[in-house]
Amino acid sequence: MKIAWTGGLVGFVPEHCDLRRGMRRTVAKFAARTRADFVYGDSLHTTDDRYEEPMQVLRPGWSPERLRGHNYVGDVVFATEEVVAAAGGAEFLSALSAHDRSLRLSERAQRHERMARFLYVADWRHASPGADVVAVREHCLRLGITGACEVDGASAVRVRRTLTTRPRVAVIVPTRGTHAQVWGRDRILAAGAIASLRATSTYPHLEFIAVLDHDTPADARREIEAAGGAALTCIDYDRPFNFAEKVNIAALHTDADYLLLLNDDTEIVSPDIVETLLSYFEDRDVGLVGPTLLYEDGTIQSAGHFFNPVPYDYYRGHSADIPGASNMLRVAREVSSVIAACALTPRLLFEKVGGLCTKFPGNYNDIDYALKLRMVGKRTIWTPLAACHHFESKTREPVMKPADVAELGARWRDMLERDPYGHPALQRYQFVWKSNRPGQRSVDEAVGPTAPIASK
Amino acid sequence: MPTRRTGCGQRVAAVACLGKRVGTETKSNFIGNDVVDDRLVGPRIEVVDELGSLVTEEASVLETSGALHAAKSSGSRLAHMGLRRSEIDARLAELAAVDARLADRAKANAARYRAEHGISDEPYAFPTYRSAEEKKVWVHKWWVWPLRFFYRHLPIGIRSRIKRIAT
Repeated sequence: MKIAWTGGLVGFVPEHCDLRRGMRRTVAKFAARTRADFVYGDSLHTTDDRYEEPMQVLRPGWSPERLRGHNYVGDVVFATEEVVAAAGGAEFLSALSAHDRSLRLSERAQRHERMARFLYVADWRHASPGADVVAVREHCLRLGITGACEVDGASAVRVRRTLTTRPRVAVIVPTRGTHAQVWGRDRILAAGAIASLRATSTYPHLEFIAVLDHDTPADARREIEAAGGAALTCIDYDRPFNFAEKVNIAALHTDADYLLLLNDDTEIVSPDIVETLLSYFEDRDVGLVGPTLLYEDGTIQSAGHFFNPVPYDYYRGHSADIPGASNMLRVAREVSSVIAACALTPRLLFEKVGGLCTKFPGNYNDIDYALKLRMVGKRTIWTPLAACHHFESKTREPVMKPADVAELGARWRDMLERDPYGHPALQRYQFVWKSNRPGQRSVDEAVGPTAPIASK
Repeated sequence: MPTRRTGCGQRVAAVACLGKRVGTETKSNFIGNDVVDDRLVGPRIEVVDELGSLVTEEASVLETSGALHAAKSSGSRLAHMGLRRSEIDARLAELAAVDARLADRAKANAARYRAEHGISDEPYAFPTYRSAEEKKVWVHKWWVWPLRFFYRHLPIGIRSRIKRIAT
């Protein structure tokens, strides 16, 4: 382990890593400018073929939930001398695993910053983030997080938190009683969503609120009511379609502690989905949590949103078995937003930020909501520990309404163009996390946004 | 655990569109206390006083839709919360006001960002990657062909270095 001292910062550089030339000074300047006390950056990884360009590992902005899963910050990190001293001193830290070191330093640091520059070079074998389950267990103990830490392969640790309370959850299902073919059988979608949650969920304190359009067929209404049984409240809605307003109205009709926004074209996969989503709210600064959404055929519909620079669902259409770049689909992590097709949020917080914005009747109200939460200091989490089917048609042409896009940009242009959980050097207009190299620019990128999400 | 499912049989009103009325034919209701709850142990019956809180002005004919133990839906929560239709509209307006305040803050931040980056005020549209498009067009111009031919026939080591420098 080499320890690099620069401008009040201590850098931990393992033997297998080489700090790039001039990076000490660059990091010191960056830390001084951003007032960061914990700095990490990107890395290059050489392969055995000397003619091959090195692999680029680009890292997202500060994501504490993801750091619990694996050492996504890389093997080389810098921290101020005060933080290093508080975490046990440079000598003690240098003897730890990279994951343990990052966790301990990050706990003591106040301002964590990612420097979007290549900080170090290492062998390709160190390109994937490592994980240390013992370090994560100790980290959870230090932070008072109760739960079980499981090793997922050799590359990630899954932290299943334990719920310490059993709050009431209101499941809000806006619908117009649509019926569709799901797995070869015709069904009323809302009835199926409610019935599956009631039948499968292991969480006892659920209540359901269905907001029914005035043109909901009577037979569909009957089926929905039968699916919800005594736990269901139906609200008639007779205005022109406005998903956001329907959800807001439902939220006003409950005093439950949490709201589970659930589209009618969903069906839960994980029986413990509610417990899993709720468990993240043990952290007081979490505002919204969403599970993995899967298409009918089991491929990924969304693993959280990212703005690249238009909103996309991570790994849409890819197999649910893939780990994603740097195993990003294996661990819970912060995202800019999640689809409101299945997302949990505290009711009081929902009211505090004004609910869903009715200026977005169909699309982007979930993005707007998540960004409002960020504005009041709350994080949005995507988790792979829970999954839900979302039977959104893959062949549906996404409808981008210019007025919606203009309103979204008027409010959040700065956040759309500077996604903290993205990276400026990513290949744009892609669903996947992929570095942008001139030789690899795709036609998609050249022609611009062909199919940005329409999130409902 | 508090349960609020009392199945009071009260119609839950359409909360939007004050001018419109909700037809009774759209839903039949359950009258009486809901004593069946297959998800909860020990259901509790609550007596709700303010039964008329959310009923539309139009008189509704409440009908049972079968046996009393098979509740179709319950408006008890609404009644319990004592929300009137006008109150719901008022609370919706409150939500909209909060949203507008946050939107103003967000718009101020976005305006500052635009000013910092010299971006015009015209309505936002999702951007296209013009620079990449232009590069592709430029690379495929006929007068670049000899250069490309020359580059392709360089030894791989030199090509690799040129690529690295270009990257």
